[in-house]
Amino acid sequence: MADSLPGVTLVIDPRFSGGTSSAVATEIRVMSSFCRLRVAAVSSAMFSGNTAHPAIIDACEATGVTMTWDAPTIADQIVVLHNPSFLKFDQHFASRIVADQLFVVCHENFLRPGGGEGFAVRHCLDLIQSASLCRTRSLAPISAWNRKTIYDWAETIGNLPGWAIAHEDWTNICSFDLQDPVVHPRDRRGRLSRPGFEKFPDLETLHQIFPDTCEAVRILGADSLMADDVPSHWDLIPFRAEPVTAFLSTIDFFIYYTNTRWRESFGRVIAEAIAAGKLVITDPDTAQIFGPGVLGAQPFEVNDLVAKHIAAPALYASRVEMAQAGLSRFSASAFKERFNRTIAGPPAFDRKPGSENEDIYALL
Amino acid sequence: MLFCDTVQDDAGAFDTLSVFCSQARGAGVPIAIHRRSLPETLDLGQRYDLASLVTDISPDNASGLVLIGGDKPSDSSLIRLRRLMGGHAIPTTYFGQFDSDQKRIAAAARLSYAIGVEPTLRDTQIIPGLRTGSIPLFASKAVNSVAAKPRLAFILPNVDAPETVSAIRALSTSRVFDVSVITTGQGKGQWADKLGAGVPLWHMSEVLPRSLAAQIDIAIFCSEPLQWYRFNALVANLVGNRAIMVDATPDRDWSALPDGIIPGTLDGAALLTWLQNDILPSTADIAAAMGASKLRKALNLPEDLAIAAATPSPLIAKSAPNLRHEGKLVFMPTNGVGLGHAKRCSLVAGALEDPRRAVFAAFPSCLQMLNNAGFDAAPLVSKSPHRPNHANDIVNHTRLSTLCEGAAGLVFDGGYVFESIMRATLDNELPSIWIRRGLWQESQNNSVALDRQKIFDRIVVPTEAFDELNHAAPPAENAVEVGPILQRFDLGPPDVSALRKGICSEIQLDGRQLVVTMLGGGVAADRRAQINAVCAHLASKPDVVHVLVVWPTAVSDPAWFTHKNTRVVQTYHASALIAAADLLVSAAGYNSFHEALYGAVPTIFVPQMAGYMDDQRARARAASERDLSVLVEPWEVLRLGALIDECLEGRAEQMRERLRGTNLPPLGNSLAARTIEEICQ
Repeated sequence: MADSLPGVTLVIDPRFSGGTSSAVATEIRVMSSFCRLRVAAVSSAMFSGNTAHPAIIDACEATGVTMTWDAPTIADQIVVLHNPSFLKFDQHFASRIVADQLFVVCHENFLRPGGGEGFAVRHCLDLIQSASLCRTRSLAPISAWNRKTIYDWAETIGNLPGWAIAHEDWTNICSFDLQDPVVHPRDRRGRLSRPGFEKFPDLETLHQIFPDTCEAVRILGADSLMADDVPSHWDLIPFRAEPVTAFLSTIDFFIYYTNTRWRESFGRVIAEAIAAGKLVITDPDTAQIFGPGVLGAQPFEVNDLVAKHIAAPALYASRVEMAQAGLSRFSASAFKERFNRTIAGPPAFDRKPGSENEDIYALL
Repeated sequence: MLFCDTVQDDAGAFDTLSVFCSQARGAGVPIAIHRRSLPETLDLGQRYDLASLVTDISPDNASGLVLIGGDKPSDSSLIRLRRLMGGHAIPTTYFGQFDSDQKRIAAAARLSYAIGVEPTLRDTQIIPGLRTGSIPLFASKAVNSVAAKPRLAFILPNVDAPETVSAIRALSTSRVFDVSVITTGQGKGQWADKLGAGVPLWHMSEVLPRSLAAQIDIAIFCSEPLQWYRFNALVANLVGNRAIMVDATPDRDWSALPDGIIPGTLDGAALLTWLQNDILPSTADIAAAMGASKLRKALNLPEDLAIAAATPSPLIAKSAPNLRHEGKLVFMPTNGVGLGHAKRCSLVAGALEDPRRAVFAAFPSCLQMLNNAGFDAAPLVSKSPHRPNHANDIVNHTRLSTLCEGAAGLVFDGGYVFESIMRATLDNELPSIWIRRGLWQESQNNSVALDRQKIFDRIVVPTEAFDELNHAAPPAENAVEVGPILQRFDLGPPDVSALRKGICSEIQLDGRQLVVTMLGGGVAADRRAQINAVCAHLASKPDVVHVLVVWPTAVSDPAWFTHKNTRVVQTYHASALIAAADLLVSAAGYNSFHEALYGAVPTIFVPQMAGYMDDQRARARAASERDLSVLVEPWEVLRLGALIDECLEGRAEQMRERLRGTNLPPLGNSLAARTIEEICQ
């Protein structure tokens, strides 16, 4: 029985502090049930001195999956390398990958809004390419937006032989317990994220979405705001100073805007907020990932939307439930189906939707 | 206007920022640092460095931003920059060493998230042989040496190396060069112990590198190149000034420079011979070669800054009204115990061929007097008990520096050379003159005065009337002694009579004799007991008119107003009152002492003494020993009444006769003015 399962090795630097490690940890727990799973840990220069994320350690221990550090050779039927950006500070990739199929899951957008590169993409992909021997080598986007940035980046490169783009998105697995929305929502707004500057919009936007008319404004991960001149009605909480569940229980509206020069590739915090029964308002592109239950709006529209849903609790509840229903697309079973389609499908390149220049993608 | 900032937060980052900004400003770039960018923890030297570079003007859409500090902006610097930019999308140029795509991407991205602008990244040029790091290094404005003798500086010599100490001693006594030592803050004290006061010592952070470089024609490098921007900026400015640079390190640590450096030695005798025979005759050729060197080319202003320098800006443009004119001479008197320094300066300024050249920077207590004398004066700020000790001098540094722009020279009169004076002089590359008192107390600590006399091209020492008082001044090769500087009233008896009549009419008192009391400002010591004693004693003499002179800014004791024949007069014209007096009761400050002497006014001197003052007791004793005046110690209050009586009953007239018959040296007002004009042509 076990021999009939596909052999899969997940390659990761397990010292990512945020969403990448959480996503991989969940993936270990899920994939170990339908794969012969191993984890190959890579100690990249990016996280020098850090330790592995506890969620990954816990997942390996819970599932009995072996994690090997810096193996000279990583050989398996399928190798899945998560988040190639961990190689951005390395001059070479010490491990050799030998596989039938190699998937590189692109947790970070290749391009930022405005066109700047998100990280040294070509450098990282070149390191992987020169270290790998495989029948197919595919980039696996984690969302529609992430896929778009890969296409757009590829267009700037013009030619990237040896790589394909997977047809299916390699989405995060969101297996959260769903909680009911509150019956009478109040104007209690908040957001959570890592404290990086890319995670926060400018102060003008923050003032717009968190005005002093709010009953409560709570911001978790607000380290960079705490040293600034900000309104006294904002309750600023340092990163990791409060458990996410406890934090989410104190708000009814999760208002999430990032820096306009950066965008979430998936938005795991949004999925967490949805699962916790919160109405999420975010920018239209990010909202699209989670379907119609999440409201996409411009910052200046936020106050009206909040007021509208406070005045209509039933509308609030139905919107949250719609969003929660949408999370099923990110369930473990949905992931397994997509995984099976992905590995069974042709070693594919794809075409940018609506692109007139098909030749470029034919080269990928 | 360009704003300049750093993406780091440690003390070294702000030191680098101040040097970088001063280098750029010196090269004509309209660049400044916003006050809100600076931490509270700056040390004193950094505050002086930054004072004239700091602005309160907020950035707007027409501004630009220049960033330095490495390729990894710190979180706190990004918060600071976000706050500073205030939401304005300001074009930003970011200098660093972005030697990989990832570094470029990360640096640009992090900055853009914080300040809302994608910066233009500029890779800092690497200069072989110099450890410049990621901060652009360039020469500031070139300075042409006008020194009479070649100025030779040993840069970072090892105080523990006997050969080096010998070399410096040998060259400093050769009289071929003006030798100085550039060392560290700690090293300065050690070198002072080795060399005494004869060799000017500078520490690297004492003034900005472009000011320091302007003091050097020949640089003898005694240590390896350092990774210290301040040090490298000094090197860059030496190159820009076409100074002669000698590598005297045993291992030829400077040999990796592309060109521009000459191998030398630290063997004292050999060095002197070599410099005299090989270097000095070729000075022009060496300078020309330096001007055309690869090193000089590598130290050109970065293109982005050069473009900014070519753009007219109010920050650089000369402005301001009547205090700026061709050939102006800036006089800066301190306000000591009284107004003596300001008074003396005004007399020297008045003796210039064209007194209109003189403008003053003076403390508030002196302004009215200077204005009355016909001079423009920019106000300086007095020390405040509510501010840190040097806060006022930092403000004065900026005011004085602004006033000094375009000046032909700076004249300082005072005992303590404030840092503001040193920096204003050096920053503006001004010829400078110190009118320095000659009479020092033997026990005084004059270390600062001795150390800072190195900035002055000439020291003018107004001599005392009596020879024995002219010996205690510290030695200085460039000192010029001139006769006493004072305002002299040559009044005949009719003039005195008319003057006294006018005074009596003004104060509505009349009497047979006029006593003037002028015991000082009360700054150095409380003189109320002595004044009260004089007032009370003269109250019993209805035929005496008593004029009590107090400084216009001094505090008066209400008791002084209770005596019928005493009038308290606040005036800047004390000299006229002295000239009219039958008897003067006075402190023995330089001006009042010599005015009494030269005006033949019988005087009871009550010296005012403090550790930081000149030796008033010695002065008063010298006159009393010649029976030209009476000396009363401050604590001899009970003697005052009897002595006043004795003087008014005939002794005063005897003293006046002896004074008239005393041969006093000619005044030095004109010679002081000529000396200044000669230096500040």
